[in-house]
Amino acid sequence: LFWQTRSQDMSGPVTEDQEKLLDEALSVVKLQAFQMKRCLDKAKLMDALKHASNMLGELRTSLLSPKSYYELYMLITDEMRHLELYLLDEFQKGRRVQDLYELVQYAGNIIPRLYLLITVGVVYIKCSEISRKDILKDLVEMCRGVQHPLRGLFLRNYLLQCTKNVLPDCVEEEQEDSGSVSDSIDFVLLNFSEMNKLWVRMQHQGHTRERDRREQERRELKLLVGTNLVRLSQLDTIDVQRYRSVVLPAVLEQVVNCKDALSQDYVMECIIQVFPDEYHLATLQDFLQACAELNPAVPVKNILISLINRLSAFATRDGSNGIPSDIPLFDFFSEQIAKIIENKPDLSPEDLVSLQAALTGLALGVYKDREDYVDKVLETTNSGLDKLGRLDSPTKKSVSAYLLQNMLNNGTLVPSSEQVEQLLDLVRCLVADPGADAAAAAAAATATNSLGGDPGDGSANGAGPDSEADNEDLAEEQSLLGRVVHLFSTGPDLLDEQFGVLKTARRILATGGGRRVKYTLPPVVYQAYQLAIRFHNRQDSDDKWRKKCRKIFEFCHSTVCGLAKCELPNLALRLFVDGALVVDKIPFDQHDTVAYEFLSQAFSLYEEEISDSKRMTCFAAENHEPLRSQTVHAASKLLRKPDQSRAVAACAHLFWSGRPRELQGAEMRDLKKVGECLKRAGRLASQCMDAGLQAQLYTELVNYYLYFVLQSAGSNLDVSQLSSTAGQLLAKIREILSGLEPSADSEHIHKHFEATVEFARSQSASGDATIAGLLAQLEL
Amino acid sequence: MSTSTQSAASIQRLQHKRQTLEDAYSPPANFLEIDVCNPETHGVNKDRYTDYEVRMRTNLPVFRLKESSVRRRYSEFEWLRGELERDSKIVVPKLPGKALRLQLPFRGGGDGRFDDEFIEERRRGLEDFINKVAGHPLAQNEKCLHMFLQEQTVDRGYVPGKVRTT
Repeated sequence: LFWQTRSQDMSGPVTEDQEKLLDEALSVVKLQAFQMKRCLDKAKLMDALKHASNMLGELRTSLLSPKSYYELYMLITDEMRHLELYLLDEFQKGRRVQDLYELVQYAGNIIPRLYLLITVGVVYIKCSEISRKDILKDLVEMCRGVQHPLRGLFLRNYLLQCTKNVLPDCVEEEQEDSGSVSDSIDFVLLNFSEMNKLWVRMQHQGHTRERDRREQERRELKLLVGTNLVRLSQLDTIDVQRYRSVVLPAVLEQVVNCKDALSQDYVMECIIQVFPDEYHLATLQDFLQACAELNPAVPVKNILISLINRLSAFATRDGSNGIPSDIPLFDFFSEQIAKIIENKPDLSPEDLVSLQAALTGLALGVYKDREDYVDKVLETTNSGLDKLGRLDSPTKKSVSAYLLQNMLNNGTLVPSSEQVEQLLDLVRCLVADPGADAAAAAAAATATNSLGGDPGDGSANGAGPDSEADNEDLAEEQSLLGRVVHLFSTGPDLLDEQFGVLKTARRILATGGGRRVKYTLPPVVYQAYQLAIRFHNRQDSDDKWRKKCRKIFEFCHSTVCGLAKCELPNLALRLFVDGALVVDKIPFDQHDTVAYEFLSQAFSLYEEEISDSKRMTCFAAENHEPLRSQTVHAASKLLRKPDQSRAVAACAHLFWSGRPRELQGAEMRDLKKVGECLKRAGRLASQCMDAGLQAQLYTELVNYYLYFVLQSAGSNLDVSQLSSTAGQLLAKIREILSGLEPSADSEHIHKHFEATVEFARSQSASGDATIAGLLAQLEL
Repeated sequence: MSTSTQSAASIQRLQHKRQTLEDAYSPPANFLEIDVCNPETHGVNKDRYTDYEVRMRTNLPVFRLKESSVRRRYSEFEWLRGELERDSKIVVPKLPGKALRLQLPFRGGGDGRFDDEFIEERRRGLEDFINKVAGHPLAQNEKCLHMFLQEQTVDRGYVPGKVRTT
């Protein structure tokens, strides 16, 4: 006979044959099982055992795949139950069969022999407590006779299943040789190590080209190995002491020394899932130590993250006592993760980040008051990423994006200026283009309100045309960054610090240039608005709240002006309007001036953009109506009547030249609304105490009327209403002016009035009949 | 452990040494894989011949190289078989057919012994042959086998003998 080398071991046959082979085996089993049961009915035990042996002989095959073998195994072991029940019955009725245990060992082939031995051994145990210890020891040792991986795994599984309820579970032996929990532990641990050995050995069976298929088959069988750990967890007498001193060290010894990635990965996860969290807390260092010694191909991060999450859940569950204070959980994990980073130079950045994210989750969930923990995490992440050396730009970006997304998913807050700086430094590839001189841009930003986004500044804005894909990517990145800004929160009490945080954020984010700030700075501004409201709510506990609010709005003002300069008028306009609304609600000193300033900025933006048709198209694409009504509303809320009047008048423009989407680019020219606005402005003006001011306001109004009347020349809009009202106004103005005391101011008002009338006259005399007609009503 | 009256000692279980972790988990030292592949026909017309790559991977201690690749033709397999039959004690397996029939003109059809189908059949036969032979410890003792598997050329003028086992 020739020496059997393992490449000749034909354990991987063709799939079509599998079905046929399995069917053949199953029919033999059914036949033999039937014969066996018939013999048992006639109490012919020896014959029954012969048939059982034949049946079990089908498990000697090398030709079946694990899946098929499993099916065969299930059928056979089902049938073996009949034999076991028969024997139990006989024994309990006092009809013990002499020397049955020896008898079955005369079976010719080792597989039937051992399956029968296990079955009989368990019957012996169930029927007499004597020698339970010895039988169990004998069985687990005898199984060594089968070294074929597949057959050996299933045989030992049979051993585990059969002994499920008879393993001793008491601290002291109850009777001589009945065994204690120590014996059970030894039993299961030995079975586990042998099974792990066979499982690992499977990969070496057969030709090298079949390696992947074998690995898949191994995965299918992992549960067989894991059942040993489950069995250990079911022994109630095992307490945390015994787990720590006996069970875990033995398991870890096998795991670490087998050096097999598949086994290590599975068994470590299994340990985490199968044993209680208190045990894990008590053995953390040993477990983490083992993690550091695993095969490099094992994704240790998954194991660690599993464990961290499990312990976080344990600690934060309702009714839990939390983590015992003598266990520096965070430090342990932090250390271990650092070790892992050190030992694995090829740890991918994504893995690094997800580890840190889990750690952050732990810090926030379990150690809410330890800000320094979050600090530490950011620090380690930074240095870790640095150590990973020159990553190419897309990788850096995707890692940074991953980190940010993770923070958003976990709601990780960034509670201080220093941490904001750290974080933004960490993700600096998203914050600004490389090469943009951060210091210079930042200095420029704070000094002159410029956000480094002037079109002339190539480096910050990025030179060259952007492809559409680039723009989409950028938008996504920056929105992510923008959303993270909302996580910059010092908590409900530290309002001054919060302002500091926002200032820091703006300083750094401004270096991103025009393309980026449109996503990243609005959240800063809105946060600032919210902060102002909070200061206002805290007015009782803070004397200086008024000043602080003012400072906040100054900050916002400069920020939004900067945005406007970056060719983002729509954005700036909306921010100004929203700001005005907020200011209005907060009665700090001279808030009305501030509100006016905000609104007038808004309007000047609006007016500038009217002339630029290209802009208007973008503006119209947004939802026009709310903006209009918001603006009108804001205007009318201004504190001083003259301001209100002017603002409302300006709103008339909105209803004239606005191009909402519904009209597909055409100007609204809502004459009715325009008229309403102007009329309202007129009413407001009439409420002014100062006559001179009134006259001034009316004059300005007349100018508005003139504008709209002239604009509607050539269209079929009926401006007669406008004209007549304008005429009335002119009359009023004349009246007021005649009664005014001469002064520098009144001179000015006179001049304005004359100029207006002159303008109107010149228009009406221009030769255009329609215009003349329109202006006729003015009674110039 | 027995309930019979026989003396316990004679049917005691044998004691065994606990296997070391090293032994338990190291890759088994019986790995031997030989592929016969990549047939190539050399030369022209009447002097044509086909040879095959004989690629070997092993962790058996008896082989000097753990990986080797040489090219061998049918006549060299025949030579090996001859040497082993003479010197080793094993029953040497048969080689695939000589294809005498195919060498006659107009017989067998196709390209005769350079026909693809024939070459494939021969390849399989040679692969089975060499795997069976190389796995046998008695064959592993022979110098000719080592030369055949791991030297670039077969020196028919070598001195036959046994490989010294370390």
